[in-house]
Amino acid sequence: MKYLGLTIDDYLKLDIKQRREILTEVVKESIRLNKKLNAFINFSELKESDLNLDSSYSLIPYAIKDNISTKDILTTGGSSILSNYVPCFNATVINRLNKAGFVSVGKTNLDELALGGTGTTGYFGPSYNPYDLNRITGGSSGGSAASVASGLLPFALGSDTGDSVRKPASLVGIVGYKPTFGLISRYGLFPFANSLDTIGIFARNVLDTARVLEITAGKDALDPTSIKIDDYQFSANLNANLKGKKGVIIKEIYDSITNEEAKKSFDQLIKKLETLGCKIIFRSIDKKLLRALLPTYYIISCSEASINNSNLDGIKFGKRVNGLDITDSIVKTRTEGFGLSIKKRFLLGSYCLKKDNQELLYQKALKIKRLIVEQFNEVLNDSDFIINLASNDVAPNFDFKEKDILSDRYLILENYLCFANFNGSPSITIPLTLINNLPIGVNITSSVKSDAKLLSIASTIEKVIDINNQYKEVK
Amino acid sequence: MNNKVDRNLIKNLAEDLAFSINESEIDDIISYFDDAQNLFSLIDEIDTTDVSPLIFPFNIEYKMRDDKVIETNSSEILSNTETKDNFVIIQRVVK
Repeated sequence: MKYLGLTIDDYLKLDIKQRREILTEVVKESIRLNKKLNAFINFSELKESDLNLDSSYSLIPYAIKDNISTKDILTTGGSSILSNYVPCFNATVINRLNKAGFVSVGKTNLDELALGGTGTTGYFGPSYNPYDLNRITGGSSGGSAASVASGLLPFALGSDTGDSVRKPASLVGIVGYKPTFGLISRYGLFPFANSLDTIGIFARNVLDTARVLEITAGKDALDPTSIKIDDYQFSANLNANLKGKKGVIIKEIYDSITNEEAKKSFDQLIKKLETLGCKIIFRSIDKKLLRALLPTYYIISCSEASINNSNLDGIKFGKRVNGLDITDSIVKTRTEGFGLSIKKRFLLGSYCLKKDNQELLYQKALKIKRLIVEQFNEVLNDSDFIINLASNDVAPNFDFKEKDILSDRYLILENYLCFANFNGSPSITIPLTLINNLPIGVNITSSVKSDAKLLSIASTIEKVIDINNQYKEVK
Repeated sequence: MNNKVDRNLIKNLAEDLAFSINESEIDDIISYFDDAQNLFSLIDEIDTTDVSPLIFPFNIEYKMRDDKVIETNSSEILSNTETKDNFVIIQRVVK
């Protein structure tokens, strides 16, 4: 039976017996392909007694980024320090998916503790891009991205603190969704930067994304930052009529595009949207603020990460290295347990929080964050959505090193997506085109709590682009 | 920034964070800090006079639990516990 490239919609047309057969195949194939993709850190041991056979979504497989807690299942965060950690509880998002009948195939690979943007820095090695195994998936949710882009699974969970769902989605040619801040409960998500963290969704079309959001969204008593919204009917209200809708291209982001082919595809899309009666205009945002997005993100996220991960000491849970006394044990555990990549970020975060630097760096970054949020909110309050390329280029090779970190292309275009983490907006990346057989996506963002509207607009744009259920079979 | 980034500062920061750094890693870390400082110089250009800091993107209502604080004597509570290497031995939570 064909199992590759099945969407949730395809699964809904199958009976339980067929789904069971497919689930078995999907697990087998995920294990086999993992030798090439390294998308999974571990696989679920499926027990008959755990399966919910009475729901419409019963036995539909998915995967979970390994920084989301799963009861009695190893949850490593992609780090040596948690390489033996088995949570005694499920994240709320997992309970909701389990209740709906979905079955997790396994836990997916990531940059260590989600502190990375390449999918290459995790303790369990890099994940590989299904389109070209010599290229990165992007990160930090690289394993989830690869598991969906290879056609194995209809969807997977990721987490997005700066762009960790939306950027890899662009690089592997699938849909990546970051909901409004707090719309999906974060109870059970390992905190990286808790003022920015969201759980996100990878899928191969907007409809599946909307279905998963319908099940996972909602206020949660266990997460005081979770929110209620008015409209949870995400999948029933897709296919918005774009006539009269107002979209905005941020001029400074557009002007930073250096990839001519990507620009041409984006321009063609904009023309098509205008043909449908959508009004697309250019708006400016203070370029100094746009160039400050990345440093602001870095200061805030590294500062929060250095504190949030102070509980990883080998005493309460996780791997412990014994020492002469408790203090020595903690130091040895953290020294051996963390990779150099995240130690650097913790050091930088601690530096930003030092008494002498706190006003100049951390407090200043929080003030700039407000200025950035105010400017983007002003644009979003006067329009239906902001649209731009999700990245300038296709996925780079593993040996790629950014040479010009002060260029507009890098500072603005390659890193602007974090504005939606600053202001809490819902934001979605959908596939735009293939350049030399490698995917690149377009990003659409709307105002806070307008998730239903954003998904509806994105589903229409997906039809205009005419890429639905794109995947790359890995042999 | 007020602190010159050198080997001592990196070691002190690592000590605060309860991990140690190999001598061989310090040059790499200093180079990483140099890049970060280049990036951070971009925020100096922005005037934030009279701007208040923003932490969460929008107002979040926190509901505190109705816990009551009770004074306890921890050494008395732990006096009957089994210890090994200065650790209190407790029953495994996850079996």
